Amino acid sequence: MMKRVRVWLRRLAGLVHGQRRDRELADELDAHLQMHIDDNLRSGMALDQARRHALLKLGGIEQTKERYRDRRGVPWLDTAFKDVGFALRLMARSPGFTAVVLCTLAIGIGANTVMFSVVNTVLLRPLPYADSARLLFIDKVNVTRRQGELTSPPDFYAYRAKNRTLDHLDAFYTRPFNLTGGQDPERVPTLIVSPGFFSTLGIPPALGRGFVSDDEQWGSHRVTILSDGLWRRRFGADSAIVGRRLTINGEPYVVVGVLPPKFSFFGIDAQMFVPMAFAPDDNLNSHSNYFLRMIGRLKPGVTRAQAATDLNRLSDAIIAEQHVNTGTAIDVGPLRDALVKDVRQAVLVLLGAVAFVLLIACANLANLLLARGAVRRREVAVRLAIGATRARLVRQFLTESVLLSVAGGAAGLALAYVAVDALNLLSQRVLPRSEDVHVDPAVLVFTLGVAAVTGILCGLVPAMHSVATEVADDLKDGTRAASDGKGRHRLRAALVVAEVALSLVLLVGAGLMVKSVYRLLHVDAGFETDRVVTMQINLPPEKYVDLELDRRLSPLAYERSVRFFGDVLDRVRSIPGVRAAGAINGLPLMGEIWGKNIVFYDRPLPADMNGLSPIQYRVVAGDYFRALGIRIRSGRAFTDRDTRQAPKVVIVNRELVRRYWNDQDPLGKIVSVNPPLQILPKSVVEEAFRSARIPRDYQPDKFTVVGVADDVLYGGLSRSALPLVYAPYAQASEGTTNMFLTVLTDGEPLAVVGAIREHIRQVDRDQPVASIQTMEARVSASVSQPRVQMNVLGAFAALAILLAAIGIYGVMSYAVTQRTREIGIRMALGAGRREVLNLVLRQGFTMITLGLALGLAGAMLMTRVLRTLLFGVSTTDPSVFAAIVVLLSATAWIATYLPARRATRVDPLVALRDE
Amino acid sequence: MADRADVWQGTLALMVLKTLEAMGPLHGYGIARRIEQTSGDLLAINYGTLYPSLLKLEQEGYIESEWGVSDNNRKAKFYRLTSAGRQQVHEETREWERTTAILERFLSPREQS
Repeated sequence: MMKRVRVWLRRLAGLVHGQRRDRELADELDAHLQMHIDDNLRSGMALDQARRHALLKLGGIEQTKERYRDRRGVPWLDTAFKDVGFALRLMARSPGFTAVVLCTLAIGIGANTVMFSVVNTVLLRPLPYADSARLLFIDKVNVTRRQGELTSPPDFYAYRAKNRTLDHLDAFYTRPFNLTGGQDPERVPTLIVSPGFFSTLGIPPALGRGFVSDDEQWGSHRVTILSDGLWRRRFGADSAIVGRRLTINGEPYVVVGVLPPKFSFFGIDAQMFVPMAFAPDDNLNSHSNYFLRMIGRLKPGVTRAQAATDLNRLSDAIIAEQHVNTGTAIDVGPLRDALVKDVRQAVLVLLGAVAFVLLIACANLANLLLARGAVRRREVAVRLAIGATRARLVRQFLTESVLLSVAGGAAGLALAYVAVDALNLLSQRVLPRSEDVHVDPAVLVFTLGVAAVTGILCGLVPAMHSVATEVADDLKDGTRAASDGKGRHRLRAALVVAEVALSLVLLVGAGLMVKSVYRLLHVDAGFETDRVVTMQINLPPEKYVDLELDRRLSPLAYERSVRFFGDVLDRVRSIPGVRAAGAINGLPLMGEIWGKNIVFYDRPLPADMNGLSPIQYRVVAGDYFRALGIRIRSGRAFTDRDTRQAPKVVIVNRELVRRYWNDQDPLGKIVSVNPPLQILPKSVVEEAFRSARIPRDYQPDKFTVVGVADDVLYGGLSRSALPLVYAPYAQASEGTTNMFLTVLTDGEPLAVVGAIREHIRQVDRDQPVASIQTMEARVSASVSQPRVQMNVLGAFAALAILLAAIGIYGVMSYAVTQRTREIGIRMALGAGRREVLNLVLRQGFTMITLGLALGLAGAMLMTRVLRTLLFGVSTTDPSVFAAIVVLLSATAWIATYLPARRATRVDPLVALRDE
Repeated sequence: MADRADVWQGTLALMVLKTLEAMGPLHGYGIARRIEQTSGDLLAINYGTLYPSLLKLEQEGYIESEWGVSDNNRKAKFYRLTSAGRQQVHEETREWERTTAILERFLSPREQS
């Protein structure tokens, strides 16, 4: 054993000072020969004969040296070093070639590294919570549409108490809370959670304590946990914050803890956390309100399917016993899936696209290496002739290509570092966990692997081709040695065909995305965005709602908030440069925020709640319709005369008229947006009477339809409009205290923001204003995800077409050089420039056409993966396909034409003299 | 092929060691001639094959080399047995004798005794 080690050490040592050792061996052999010759002379041979005999007896100087060297070092390592050295010298000798190859690879590998780091963060790396594999997202879904619906508090409490499969079950929802006192009033995005929430996630607070079950008891619920960000920003990272009193929504809360930095949940930008608690008679805690989402933690050894069965058993029991939630079931999925649901497909598509880019880069590289291999045929022939084996040469060629690809990969990694930051900026609002995207060890390994595979993939075929050569032929004729065999040319043509096909697929994908985004931006959303500024005002109910009256469902409860918005809108209207000012509880594109059921009095009442027609509900104040340019199709808009005392009126949208009135004129019809008692389940009504929540003579308000408004896309640009009812804020605020101002101006909309804020401050100096944005910015933000997808895919496609053009140009240039002599002969025999041009073009034409055909077929198959990402465009949209084929053909044509034209400039005399 | 070369290398190594033991320090050419003479010219080897063998023995630490001057005033590399080499000669010899003894029984079986 020891001996082995010593031998290896000496052999490793033999790797260094190779040249000196070589010289020493040469000297030794020289001495050997001399002595032998001396002996031979002494025994009477002639000098010639003596020398020959000695050499013969030795068995060849070079062979001896070769065998000796194999023994001296570690042969394969030694060769590897030599190959690397040789490759480096070769790279340095042709800097142009090297630069092109390195750039191609850096781009290809860099782009892949970036996309992989995104995939790694978003899809692969575990969530930043303890034992996150057991975390669940629990979703109530509509059985027929399988669409997510929300949960009501009574359901949640039942699931939590009675399930047998979960260690924890917690609910959460978000609300902005007003934080006042000390500094400027501030509207803070707040996550309202059941007490176990943080222990379910396994996030201990950095300061103080987490929530405990006492915190959800009404009365002891006024405690809060701050985010690290809010704690630092507003409280200067005060370490004595725990125990401090804050005024939240006008009530005193006590800070009990601060979360660790970097806590994030669902990309929800929550800065404050309060326990979920309901007053004993709070209407929120009933089956009329569905607003909770749930997370859970599986008991060890329990599967998701078991948990789903368990929870559905509870859900079915509630449906059977209480006649609520009909048509819903419970879906249980990994928390991670819920988190990345929207972007998973997009990210995977982009990863596929970027792999295509790398494949094209590989094809280019292989082509370049093939071309160089042809040039080096003489070198190969010589080396084969003096005894190198083919395997040995293949290894050397592979070393060269792997070295290139690893260098390219290193450059790509550097690119990726920069690009990841750029991507973070670009995609912050689009990508969940994008703040975590960075280049980590997994990414490094990925890049290294990709680089190595790339090098071998690109190098192997050219290497095999380079050494598959007839030594004698190549040695015989220097000029002909550089001419291509048929097979080699076909291979290069095949690579170009592949490049064209791959880039066509990418371009079509990008083209579809572009058209989709164009469609989205040009969809008729039903409102104008020009010169409109919007902002959010969230009044604290404690201050603006008479809670006692509200409990008795008295409309007088909202007198103060009605007055507030009336005052503010009056003042804003008086600002010079303001054309119209209104307010609504949910802006267009913000999502369908409030579903209710409509009751028609022009037809018989349905038997129960399930027979009612669903609508979206919005309350508006001031000149909302005029501010957003929403057309009133018939009837009138709301006016200042539609007060609480005036007859109650609503405006409906055209979709509602289409769907529920068969497009008949609805003006004058009577409706309600709350169900009359007779169709509610008896048990619910009795319970409501008992708790005095509803007076015994309760009847829902009846509204007269006074107008029909154009459809507005509230759910988003890609969602069609749902039936919708607008009611005046003064008549039917239905508990709303959170409104968005919409102000139409004469000029730059943001110019009036200062004045608006000042007026609000004059009405209530503690009232914060949030989310100040032009309507244009909101529209733009609503399409940011498709836009980012379009940009990234577009960038990949641009790279693809560029690389493909380079590839075609390279192959054609090379083909022209190869055929110089042939062209010269043809021209000498009388062929015109046009014929020569056609000759070369035809060669390119075949490749390009074949590539386009294959690419089209591929695109037809591949674009299917885009289906869920596209809006208003079919995945085989003919105009996009046609446009892309034209674009790619034109590019390919130019890349072919330039070298072809050079062919016509061949001087026959020069071409033939070359021979 | 590699196997046969190994066997040959092994045998050659023993011949080299034995030669150096008998003759003292000697250069490559001298070793080659000596082996040839000793074998009664039965063994016609390429002298070239000797050098990798010498290198191997040196790596294994059985011999050392040093530049010196030959009888007829030529600069040459002389090889000398180390103490480890001397020990190795004895072991190898014993080993070899045992092997040949066994082989002999197979190759020329005597009458059963």
